[in-house]
Amino acid sequence: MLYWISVAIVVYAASGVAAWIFRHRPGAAGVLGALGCVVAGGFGLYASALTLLTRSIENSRSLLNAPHARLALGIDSLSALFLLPIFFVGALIALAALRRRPGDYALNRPHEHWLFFNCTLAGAALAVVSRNAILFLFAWEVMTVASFLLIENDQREPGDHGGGWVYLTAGHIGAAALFAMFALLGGDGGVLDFSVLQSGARTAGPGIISVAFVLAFTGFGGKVGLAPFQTWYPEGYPPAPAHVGALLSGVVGNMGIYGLLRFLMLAGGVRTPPVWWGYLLLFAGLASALIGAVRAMAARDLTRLLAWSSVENYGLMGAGIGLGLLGAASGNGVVSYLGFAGVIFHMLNHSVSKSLLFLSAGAVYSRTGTRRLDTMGGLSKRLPLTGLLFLVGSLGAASVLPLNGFVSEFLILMAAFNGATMYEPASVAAASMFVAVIVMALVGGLAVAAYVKAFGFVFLGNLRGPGAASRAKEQPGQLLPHAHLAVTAVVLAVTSPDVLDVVGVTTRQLVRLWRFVPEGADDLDAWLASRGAPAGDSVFLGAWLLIACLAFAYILRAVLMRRAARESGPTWDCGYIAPDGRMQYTATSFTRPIVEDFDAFVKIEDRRSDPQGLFPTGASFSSWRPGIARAFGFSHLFRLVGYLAARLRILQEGRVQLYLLYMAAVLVILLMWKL
Amino acid sequence: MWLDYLSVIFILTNFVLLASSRLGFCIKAVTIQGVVLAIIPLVHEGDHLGVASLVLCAVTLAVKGYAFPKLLNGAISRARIRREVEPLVGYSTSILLGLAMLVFGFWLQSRLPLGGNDGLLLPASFFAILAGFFVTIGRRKALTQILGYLALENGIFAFGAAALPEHPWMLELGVLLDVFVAVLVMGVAVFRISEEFEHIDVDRLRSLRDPVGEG
Repeated sequence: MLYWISVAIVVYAASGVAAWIFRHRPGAAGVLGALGCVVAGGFGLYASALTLLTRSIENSRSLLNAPHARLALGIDSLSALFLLPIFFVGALIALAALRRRPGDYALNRPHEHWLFFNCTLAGAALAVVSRNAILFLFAWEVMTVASFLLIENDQREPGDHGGGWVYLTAGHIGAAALFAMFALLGGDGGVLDFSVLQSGARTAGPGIISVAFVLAFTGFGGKVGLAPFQTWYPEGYPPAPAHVGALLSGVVGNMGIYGLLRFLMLAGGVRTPPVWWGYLLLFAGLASALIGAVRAMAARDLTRLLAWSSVENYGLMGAGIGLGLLGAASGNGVVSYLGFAGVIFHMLNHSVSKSLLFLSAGAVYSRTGTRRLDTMGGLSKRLPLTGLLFLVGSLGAASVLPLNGFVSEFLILMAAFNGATMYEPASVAAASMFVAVIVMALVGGLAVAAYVKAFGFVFLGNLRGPGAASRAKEQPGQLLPHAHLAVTAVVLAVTSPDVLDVVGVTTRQLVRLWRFVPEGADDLDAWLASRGAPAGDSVFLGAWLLIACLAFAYILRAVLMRRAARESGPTWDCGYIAPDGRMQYTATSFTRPIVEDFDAFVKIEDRRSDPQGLFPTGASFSSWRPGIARAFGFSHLFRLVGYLAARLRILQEGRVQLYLLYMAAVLVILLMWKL
Repeated sequence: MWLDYLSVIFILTNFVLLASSRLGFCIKAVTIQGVVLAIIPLVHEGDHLGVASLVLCAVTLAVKGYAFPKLLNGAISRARIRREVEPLVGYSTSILLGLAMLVFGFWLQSRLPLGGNDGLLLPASFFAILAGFFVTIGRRKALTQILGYLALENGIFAFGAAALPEHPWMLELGVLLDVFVAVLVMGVAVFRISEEFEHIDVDRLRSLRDPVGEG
């Protein structure tokens, strides 16, 4: 298994380099790069699927040794689950990026693009299978830097500049935290293998482990924009082409969740986790879910909307891990099981749905040339298939019933609900769980509103804006990768009990980490069922019932409509003679009433000049929403850092002699101190 | 006994390096240091002289007693400078600081866990290291800085001889090779700098640093 994963990683790297070598022939470079992704994806999918089905764990012997570092690889079901989106979604994104229409995101330099694209995938895959801290950090850096270069490689609009740098800075602050975390776990030197770290974590004091947890929260949670790090997350997206957005959201972001879970496996061990770990993750996750949902609803840029929706979804996953930890800390296996299972399942669903959405947004952009929601409308008349695919993605990402996202979000919600009812009433834990249930319900509603806005104002209504003029038909062949993702989303929804079985293997590992399952309860499933955990199938019975109801309603309507006489005419136009596409609601005006309720997260600034007098000559109204989250806090912090760094410039005096004096002073002080 | 006499010579040459403005004289001082260093292993070994020490002595003599002075004298005649004018730290101050360094050296000897070392060589070696460092810091001319670097390295060499008389000579040969290459490179660099800038004042290379401004 591990052999094929290694082959896949090598194929990624090799095809990226091959694309670079063929830089004078852009066509060949593109084909090579995408082909590499598909081939590597095939190998990798085979290996990770086999690992999941046979429930095997494999660790390699090291091929290469260096101080503290070994080329140690390993694969278990947790790794395999996170490898799935890398290989599958990665290959489909590559295919979608290859089949670009003229006028679509013109890639400035295909060879560089494919080098960075494939390196990002290789880094992500290597990070997931690495079993040594140094190797992990190396892979992590490759992934971060390559995806940064991927963003910066394709600058189009002048205003976009800077987003990639925010992404890189945030990535490195996170990486610094991870360095510190591994160094802390590693203790006094030696090989930093995960197995060594694991045994080290068993003997380390609780204080050290907790500091390591905070560092892991910063590093891994920062990657997915858990509060308070949510502000940077959407900044990387607007400058990047849509398929890069799909890669960031569908593949790279998952690494943060993987890191958190892997950290728990490493540092978990014998001790029960402190309760505050769970509360920290739960409330950070809920906060970023809420902020993400509100900002997604308020977003006026389609890419930004999708990015904020990713913040929301990752926030839910963070909250799910928090619930899992809370369950573990209080010995409540059902809450723990549901929380972890929901997180992993939601990760899979989100990968598929969000990359589908980004790719469909790319198809829209190639038609309209803009991402501004306010100027779009009625595009399903021109792009019916894209509209359908976008709808499938939206339903999945908004966690609406018949589709995949619902199931996993429902699991997380069930965890909170179980906790709320099973803990002692009027205890802090029960109250937190109630808050979680309420916030998640609110977030769910807001997410639906955001996607109604995204889908409704891009695809429904009357044609308007830049895409309206062209009558060219969409080419279904180019939507094949999108269609595959859409089919996968549906399959994930339909077969969710089976998927949950597969996810359950890893979940059981996580739940067993803290050994609160009573001795003798070898059959964890039976034990969980006896404690009131829903068996897989029963959860989904309701969903099937609802689908049946919908189908019945549709058939009933068709039957009834057959008898009725039908005629078509213009929509009622309030007596106005010449309705125009511009007279519809805009996306901004649609969400305004809801956004006004959340002015803690989104500021609205209006500028208006009303019509004056009986025969007004002019009037105007404009409204915008500066992101207060970015202005709040972080900019002050970075200004302070910049100020302090500028003060340090005194040290760079310019005289060689002075630099030598610094060295001499430090050496003499060290010598005297140590004697 | 002989070791102490040699150490005294070593200390005195360091003072010359600190106190003299004439580059030629400084070069002579460093050369004498090198010759003393070459003799020290012979004195150390006494009656049972090994081939390794003889080879080391010969190589040290060749490099420090002949090659370096020749190289450096060539450099000052090419760059047409004879004196270190306006040092960053004055000569009398330098001598006083030198005394402080020597005292620091004796203090270090008392603190270092090296049994049976009550001779003068250990403090002398510390003094050379510090004085060499000080000369690279306190002087302007690139050439003086090379001399400081050489004195520093002589100090390390002497420390090796004093602290580890069980002669890890291979190590010392390695250090020697390092220094030889470094002096060669620096000699060439001095020549190039003087060609390019018409001076070899290191502190005037300040213009090469980052522009000052809000970062």
